[in-house]
Amino acid sequence: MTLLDVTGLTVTGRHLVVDGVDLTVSAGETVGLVGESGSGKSLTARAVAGLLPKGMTASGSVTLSGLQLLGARERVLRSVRGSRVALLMQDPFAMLNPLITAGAHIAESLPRTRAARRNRAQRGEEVTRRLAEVGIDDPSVAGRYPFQLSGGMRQRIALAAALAGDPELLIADEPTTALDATTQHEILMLLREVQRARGMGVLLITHDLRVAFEMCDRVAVMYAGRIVESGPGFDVAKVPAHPYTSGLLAALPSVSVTLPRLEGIPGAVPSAGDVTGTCAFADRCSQAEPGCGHARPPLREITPGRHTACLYEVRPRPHAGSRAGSQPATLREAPAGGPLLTIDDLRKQYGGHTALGGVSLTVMEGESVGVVGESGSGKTTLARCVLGLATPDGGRVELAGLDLTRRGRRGDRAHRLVQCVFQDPSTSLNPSLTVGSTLAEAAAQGSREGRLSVPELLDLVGLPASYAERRPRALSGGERQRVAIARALAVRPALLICDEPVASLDVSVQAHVLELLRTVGRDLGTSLLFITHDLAVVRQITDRTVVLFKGEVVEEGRTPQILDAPTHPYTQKLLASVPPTP
Amino acid sequence: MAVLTLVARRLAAALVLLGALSVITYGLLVASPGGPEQVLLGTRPSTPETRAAIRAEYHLDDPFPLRYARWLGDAVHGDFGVSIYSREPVADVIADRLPVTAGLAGYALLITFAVGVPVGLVAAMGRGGLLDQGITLGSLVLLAVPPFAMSILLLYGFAVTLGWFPVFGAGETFAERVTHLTLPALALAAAQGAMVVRQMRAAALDLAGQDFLTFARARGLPRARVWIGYALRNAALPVLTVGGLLLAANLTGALFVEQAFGLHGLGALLIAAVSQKDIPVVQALVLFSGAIVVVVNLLIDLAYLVVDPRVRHGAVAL
Amino acid sequence: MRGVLAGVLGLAILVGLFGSHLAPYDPATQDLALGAAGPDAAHWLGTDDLGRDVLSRLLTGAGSALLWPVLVALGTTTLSTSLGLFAGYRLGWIDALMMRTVDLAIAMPGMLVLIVLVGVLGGGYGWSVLAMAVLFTPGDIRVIRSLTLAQRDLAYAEAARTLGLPPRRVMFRHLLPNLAPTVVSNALLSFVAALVSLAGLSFLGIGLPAGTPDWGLMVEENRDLLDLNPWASVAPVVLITLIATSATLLGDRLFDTLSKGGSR
Repeated sequence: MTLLDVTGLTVTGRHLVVDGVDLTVSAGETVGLVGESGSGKSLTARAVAGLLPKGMTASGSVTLSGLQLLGARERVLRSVRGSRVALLMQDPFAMLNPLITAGAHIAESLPRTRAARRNRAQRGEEVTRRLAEVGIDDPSVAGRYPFQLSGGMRQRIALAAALAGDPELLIADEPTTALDATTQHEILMLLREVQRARGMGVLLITHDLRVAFEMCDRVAVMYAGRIVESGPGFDVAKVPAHPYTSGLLAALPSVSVTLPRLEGIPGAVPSAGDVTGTCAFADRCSQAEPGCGHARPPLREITPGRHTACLYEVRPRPHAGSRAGSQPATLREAPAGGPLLTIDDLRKQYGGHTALGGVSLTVMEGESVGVVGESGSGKTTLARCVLGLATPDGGRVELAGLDLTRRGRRGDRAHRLVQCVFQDPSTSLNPSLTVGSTLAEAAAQGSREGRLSVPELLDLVGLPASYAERRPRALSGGERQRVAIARALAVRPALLICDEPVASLDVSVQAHVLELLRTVGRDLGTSLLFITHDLAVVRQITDRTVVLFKGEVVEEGRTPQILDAPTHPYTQKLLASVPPTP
Repeated sequence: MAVLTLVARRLAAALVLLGALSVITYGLLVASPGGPEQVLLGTRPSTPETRAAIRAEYHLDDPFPLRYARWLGDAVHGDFGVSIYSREPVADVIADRLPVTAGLAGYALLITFAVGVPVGLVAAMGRGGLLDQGITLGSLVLLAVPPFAMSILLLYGFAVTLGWFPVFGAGETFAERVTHLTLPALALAAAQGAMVVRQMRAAALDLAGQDFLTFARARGLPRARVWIGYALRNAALPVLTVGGLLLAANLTGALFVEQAFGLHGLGALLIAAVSQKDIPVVQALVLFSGAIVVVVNLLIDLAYLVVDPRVRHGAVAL
Repeated sequence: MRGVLAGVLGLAILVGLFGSHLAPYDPATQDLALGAAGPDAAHWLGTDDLGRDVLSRLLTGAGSALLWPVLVALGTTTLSTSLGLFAGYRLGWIDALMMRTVDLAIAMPGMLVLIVLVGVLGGGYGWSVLAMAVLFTPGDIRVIRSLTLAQRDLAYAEAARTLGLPPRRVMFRHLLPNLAPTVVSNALLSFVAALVSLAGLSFLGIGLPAGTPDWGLMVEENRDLLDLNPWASVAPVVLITLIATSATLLGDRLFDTLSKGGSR
């Protein structure tokens, strides 16, 4: 029975953002809407709930069990929201009212007719019952305020509040993106459990293909405001019917195999309004034909329930074989040099919180070491201590014979030995300086001999020399991270620290940057200390892995060994939380 | 616990502020041209006898800290001595003038919020539209016009040219008072109202973009619950803070407005006392207004404690 | 729009510099027989009750009315920007001490203290200007410091430190340009505040001897002439209002343009 039926949904703000989306969700079914940033997936979700931001309008048709929601009066929508459709959003820190308790969020969302008749005690019992449904057995949580709860707890409270009105359809917009890997896994499992127990329809919006395939019965892939492919999750994962899906799958790093080459998709997502009359993907497509640019390919049915917006059959990817896991590639030769970075019993406290409780690790010359951990593991503090951005309370950091922890000894040599690529591409470059002056300034900090010029640096990271004139605002996220890498390499450091350099990038861009870090490290002989939460990324880029948990090293060893046969329970839990790569 | 530390810290800060103000004001007497003797003598003839009487009466031969402590002790009990100009107790002089200023300030605050809040909301609702642009521009302009300039413009426009309102004075009956105080209150409220408009607009726009508001609507909560429990409660604090800032502006603004409209309130009293070097009155007025600022800010802090659990539990520093 | 605003301000500054040379009469020359009269061909803005030419007094007064505020704006902006940048970047005990002082200064009813100090102790423009600079600086320090604090932990600033750039270079080459919109609008707002406060003080008859050709004083002295020659009082009010609003609007526009366009 079709619960939600979306036909020809178009959303326009200043520009066209969603262009003719068709979608159905049946009762008891989970449908995934997958896309990278800018695909219009979130606005599709908002439009379905009738909660578009101001200044955006939707046209087409959205019906819920036959009731037209698009253009319905606010009074009608209010009676539908909560009790028939619920929306769960991404950021658990922003979604709850900071001024009221967790319990109050749930209580106020309970069905109004019954809630009104219930007395205080009964309402309390009901809240406790609802908390138990989302896996919170401690009823005292109801009395806590959002700021007193962890991200995962907040997301559970939000889910309980969203479900309090017993909706038939739950729209979950990136419900786990802001959470740690293990928490993400728990919430996804909870969502599945609740969905099955209630027989509810779920529309899951996500950027993560792996999550979509793991969770959903059917998957629709969005690109530049339209759906380019849809079908049963399993089929789409195995035999993608659109070059874009195929490209995304190829760009996906795997946690189980080291791929010989990571392939991104060249170019950037066009604006939906610029490609209305053509195939939206034609410009980036490796198998585009002249005809692709002439007319918009319709979403055609290839087999029952399976649709694609490509006119042609998708060619298999060249290295699909290695994905099957027959021949895992080795990254590089075993490093020959002696120890470059030695960290010994490093300690750091922030207030009463122990960020680092005595961490020791070594990076050899030419070696690539991954530091894996979730938020609060101390991995970023570790990097900051090595970089001199934080002062450790105890322990020793020695880099190429230089003791970095002795005050005043950092001098002007430390910055030539270690550099860093930071996480956030939106702030990694100074917005008021051109790319050229940023790079020139960095290069001038290095030693005179072997100094690279700005065009050489740009070439090193695969950007044209003309980019020197640009300011960061005119660059995409991936391009900015490339410049940030060039800036870090400009002083020719012996050690490059990468603090989650790809965590904020779309998967098609992430592959490019990872591949760049891999080759550049190899070519220049730079050692890498790679800090990440993503085990699949670690697999692709590191020789050795150190697992950090609450400021302590819990496991350490060669990357393939750690990922294939983890011994510590925490590492095992981390690995179990990674959604299977298709 | 967190509440106690917060209140203690705030009280300490208030005491430091009042202490600093009291030192400055007491210092005025010492530092004023001619020295304390001359000032305290005022217009009385300066003979050795009168000078000696003054020295004895005000203990001028004691060391400075002792004199200051004695003066402060009296001040805390509301005794600021006698006005040099009128020879009446300072407290009586102030009590006499207070109603006019209180009426003016209260009237102005009423106009400020009664106009500022809805106009700010209207601007936020029609964000980017012509009305919003007009309101934003208008509030910027009003913000730049000082109260005394606004007073003269209003006087010239509405009292002299149009003759709708009386030109000077405060009036006798209540109705007279209201008409007499309308232009001054408007002059005082213009810039403050503009500030409230801008704050309200910013707070509303900030709220509109908050996920928790969208999430509340997504759960189909009744309109009243969304508006009162979510929007109003979260917007109240920033607007309240502005209220505290407004008060300080109100105090000095009243000075100019009273002068421009010839109202005999505390502002006019201060100006007169300053020009007559009537130091006891000046000291009392400065400390009095300092105390008002301190008390209102403490009340605002308390409001934060009541409304925001994060402050209550010490999770956010105020 | 921005052109018009900048034009108004530029013209005002020019008049401030050369106004006294343009005045058709000596601003102090009295014509008691004429007394307060409305505008005519000889006196474009009429005369005050002592028969002094209003236009000449306006032009002569422009210098002190406008140039002192420019000085205050430059002084407070330079001081607050460097102190705020320093405190926000270096942190530590200097910052803590500075911020406690700033908190105290901000909590004071500053204008009131200013009026009382200048009024009781006397001493003309000089003291008023100095006191004003002391009065306006703390608020700006706080703003600049909090912006610096927000910028210093952004990735680009950490990268600059990691590159081993000296603190001065990080502060002035990396952080300062990104604070430019605020610095510029702060400067204009300080100018407005100084203009308005200075005129306000003399309106209250504080700090200046009677008879000085000063805008604020003219407003006060000619307030009773609103029916005889309203221009004597309204003209300086209009000028103050016009210049203050132009500077405020310009600050607002510049802030928007700089925060948007500065990085294109």
